[in-house]
Amino acid sequence: MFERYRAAAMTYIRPATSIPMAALLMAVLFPILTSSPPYNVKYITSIGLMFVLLEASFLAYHVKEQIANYRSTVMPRFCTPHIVVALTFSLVLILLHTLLLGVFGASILGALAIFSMCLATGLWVHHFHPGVIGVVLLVGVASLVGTLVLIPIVDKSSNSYLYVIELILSGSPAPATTTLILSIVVIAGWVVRLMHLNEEMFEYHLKLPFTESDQKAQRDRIRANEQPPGMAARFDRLRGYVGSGTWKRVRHWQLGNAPTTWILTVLCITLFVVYYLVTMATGIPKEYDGTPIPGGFIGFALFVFFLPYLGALRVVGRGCDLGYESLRPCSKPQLVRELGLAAALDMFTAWAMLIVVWGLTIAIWNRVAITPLELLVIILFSIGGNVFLFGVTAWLMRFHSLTLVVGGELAVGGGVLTVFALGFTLLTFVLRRELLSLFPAWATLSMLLGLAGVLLAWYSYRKWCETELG
Amino acid sequence: MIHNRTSFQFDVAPSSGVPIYRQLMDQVQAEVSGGRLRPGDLLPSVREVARRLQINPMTVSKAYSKLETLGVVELVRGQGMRVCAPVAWGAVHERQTQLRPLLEQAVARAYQLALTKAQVWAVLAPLLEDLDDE
Amino acid sequence: MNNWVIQTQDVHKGFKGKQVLLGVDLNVPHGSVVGLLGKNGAGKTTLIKCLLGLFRLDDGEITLLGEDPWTLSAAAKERLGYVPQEVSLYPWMKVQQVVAYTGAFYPRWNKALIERLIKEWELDPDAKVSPLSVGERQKLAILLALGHEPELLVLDEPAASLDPVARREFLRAILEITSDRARTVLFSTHITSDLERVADRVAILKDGKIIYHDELGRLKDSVKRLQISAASPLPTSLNIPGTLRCEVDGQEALVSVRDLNDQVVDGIRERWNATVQVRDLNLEDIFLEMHHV
Repeated sequence: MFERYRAAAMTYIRPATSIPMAALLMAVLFPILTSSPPYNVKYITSIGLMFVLLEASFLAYHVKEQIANYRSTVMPRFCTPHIVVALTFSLVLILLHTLLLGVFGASILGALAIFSMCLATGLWVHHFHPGVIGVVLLVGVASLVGTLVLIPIVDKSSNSYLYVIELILSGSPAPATTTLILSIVVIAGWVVRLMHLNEEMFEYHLKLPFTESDQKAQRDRIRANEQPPGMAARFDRLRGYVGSGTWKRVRHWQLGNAPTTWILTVLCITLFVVYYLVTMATGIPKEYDGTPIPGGFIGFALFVFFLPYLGALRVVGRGCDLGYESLRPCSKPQLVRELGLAAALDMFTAWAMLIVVWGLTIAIWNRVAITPLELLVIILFSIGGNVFLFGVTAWLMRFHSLTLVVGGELAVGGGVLTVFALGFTLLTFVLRRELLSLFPAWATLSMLLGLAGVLLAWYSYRKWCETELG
Repeated sequence: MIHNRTSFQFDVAPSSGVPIYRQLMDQVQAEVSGGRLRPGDLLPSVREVARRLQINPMTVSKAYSKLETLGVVELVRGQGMRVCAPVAWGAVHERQTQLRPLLEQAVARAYQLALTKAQVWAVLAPLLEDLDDE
Repeated sequence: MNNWVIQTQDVHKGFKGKQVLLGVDLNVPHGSVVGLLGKNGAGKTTLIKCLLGLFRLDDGEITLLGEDPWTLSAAAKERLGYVPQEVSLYPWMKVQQVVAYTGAFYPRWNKALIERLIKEWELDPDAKVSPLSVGERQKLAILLALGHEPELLVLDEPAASLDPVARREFLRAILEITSDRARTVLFSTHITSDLERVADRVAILKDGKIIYHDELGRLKDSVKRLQISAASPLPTSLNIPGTLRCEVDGQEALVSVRDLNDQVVDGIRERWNATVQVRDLNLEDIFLEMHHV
C-alpha cells in the first residue's frame, strides 16, 4: 500500500522534473530576497502567482506523463497513488505561498483562494492544444520577468491589480470562498480527467521534448500543422532541378524546414496580443512619474527574443534527419551554409512580422506616439539581439539536445536580453528627453551584439562542418 | 538444326540449404537425364529466369556457366544456352571417381536401413535403365 | 575504372568507450548486390553510417565511389542513394510534395520511374506523410532513393517494416534496377530470406568484424552440418578444422563446419570408423551456427 505511494513519489526524482521543481520551490523566498521592507504584498503575490502556475504545470506534466502510458491501464491501482502524490505536492506548494503571504499581513483566505485558482490553471494546462500550452506558459514566464523587473523599479503602490484579483486578495469572504470552491471543483475535474485518460483523448499524446523519445513525438506533432497558404503553390512551382545558385538553393532548403514562419507568425501575434491585453489588465505600469510608458513596447521587448527559440525548435526537429539530408548532392560546408541561411531567413521573416504586428498594436492601443529615433533604436536592438541569439542557437544546436537549446535560449534570450531590453527601455522612457544622448549607447550595444552573433555563427559553422551528422 | 526455345520452367526454393545456382543446375541436369530436355533445346534467357523467379541474375548466370563447364549446355551466340548432346570428357576412371562419393553415401544409408545387397540392387537397377549400354 | 565501389580497411569506430567496429574490412565489387547480415546491435547501422561519412572513423580508411566519405563531393552524392533505418520525411508535406522537393536536388531525376513506382507500390500521392504507417514511410524513402538512379544504393534494414507483399515488390525493384549490372546495392538486414533471393554476396558482421564475405552460393556450398555416427563412443572434442559448433552424444555427433571438403569427411570416416552424412544449411541456419556460443 505505502510502497505504491513511495514509488509514485520516486518518479519525481529525474532531472527534467526535479531540477525545475526544486528551483521554483526555492523561489518561494525570492520576493523577500529581492525587495526590502516595507514588503510589497502585491509584488510577493504576483511573483507567487507565476511560480504557482509554472510549478503546477511541471507537476501536471509529470503526472500526466506517468499516466498517459499503457502501464496505467494494465497495472491495477496505478493512477491513484500518482494523483494523490501530485495533489499532496500541490497542497504543500500553495500552503507555502499562502503562509509566506500571511506572514506579510495578507488575508490567508484570499491568498489561499487566489493561489488555488492559479494551481487549477497550471494543472489543466497540459490538457489543451499545444498552442494554448505555449501561450499560457510563455505569458507566465513573460509576466514573471515583467513583474520581477518592473514592479520593484516602478510600482510603489500606485498600480492596481485587475479588479477581480484585488477583490479576492482582499479576503472578503464571499469572492474568496467562491473562488476557492470553484478552484477545488476545477481541480477535482482535473483528477477525474486523469483517471479517465485514455489513448483516444488527444492530450494523451502530448509530450514535452525532455527525452529523446519525447523529441521524436515533438517532431511528429508537427503533423498537426497545416501548410500555410502559398506553400502548396511553391511545391507546384517546382520544375525539376533547382539549380546551383545559392539563393535558389536556400529557398529550396527552406521549403524543407517545418513551416516555421507560419507557426511563428500565428504564435507571435497570439502571444503578443494576449500579453498586451493581460499587461493592460493586470497593471504592469503604464507610466512612471507621470511619463507614459508604451505597454506595447514592453511587450515587444519581452517577445522579440523568443523568436530564435521558437525557430530553433523547428530546426532541431529537422536535426534528426540531418544525416539523411546531408547526402543530398552538395558538399558538407555547402549544406551547413545553406541550411543555416535558410534558418536565418525563417527567423528574420518572423522578426519582420513581429515588427509589423507590434507597429499595429502600438497604433491601435497606445497612448504615446513613437518617435522615429525610438523606432530606430527598437529595430537596431532587436536585430542585434536576434543575430546574437542566432549565433547562440547555432552553437547550442551542435549538441543535439533540445533541452539544452531551449534552456540556453530561455537563459540568453528570455533572461539576459529581455531584462536588458526592459531595463534599457524603461531607462530610455524615463529619461525620454535624453534619448538622443542615449542613442549611441543603444546603437553600439546593438552592433556589438550583432557582431558577437556573427562571430558565434561563423565559429559554429566551422564546428558544424566537423560534426558527425549521423 | 532447329532450336526450340523450351517452355521449360525452373522452380527454386531460395531459403533451401542448397544454393539457388545449384538448384538450377540440378533441375537442368535432371531434365536432361530424364529426356525432357533434348539436345538442341534452348534454355530460357538469364534475364527471363531472373525476372520470373525474382532472383538475382548473377545467380542464374552462375548456374548456366557452371553447366557450360560441365558440358551440359553450350553458349550459342545470339541465341542463348543450348543443351548439348552428352559427351564423355575425361578418362572413365576420373568420372567414376566423381560418382563414387555419392554412391558411398547411398551405401552407408543402405547399411543403416539394414538393406541387403539384393534389396539395394532392386532399387538401383530401374534407375540405371536410361543409361546407354556400351 | 576502379572495380570496387566501396573499399574499407581496418575500420574502427566506438562511442563513449563502447567499441562497435573493431577492424572492418569489406570491399564491395561493382555491380554486386551485397547483403550485410548481423545480429541486433552488431553494428550494421554504424558501419553503414561510417561508409557514408555520417560518422567519422576512429581509425582505418574507407573509399566510397573513389572518395573519402567524410568529405564526399556533390558529384559523388549524385551517384549515391541512401535509405536510412528510420526517417521522418517532412511530416507536413504530401507524398508528391516530398517527391518534388527531393527531386529538385538532383540534376538527373527519373520522374517517369517514380510515378510508375508510386502507382505500383500503391502510395497515394495526395496523402500527407505524417499519418503514413512506418512501412509506407519506408516505401516512400526507398522510392526517393531510386529517383536519381544511383550507381550505389545503400539501404539500412529496408524491408524491416514491410509486409510480405511490399517486401516482394521492393525486392523486385532492387532486381530491376540491378539487372543491367551497372549498379551496386548494399543492404543490411537480419531477415535472411530477403537476402537469399536478391543478394549475390553476403557479408556477416559479428563482434565488430566482418567474419565472412563471399558469394552466397559459395557460403551455402561450404558451410555444412555433419551428422556422424561412429562405431564406438566419440571423444568430446573432435578437432575438425573449421568447426562452428560441435555436439557429441556418445557414438553420435553433430558438427557444423565452415569449409567442408571431401578430405574432411574422409578423415572423419577413417578416424572413427563412422558414417558421415552431410546436411545442407540455409542462410538462417548458417547465421545461427556462426553465432552459436
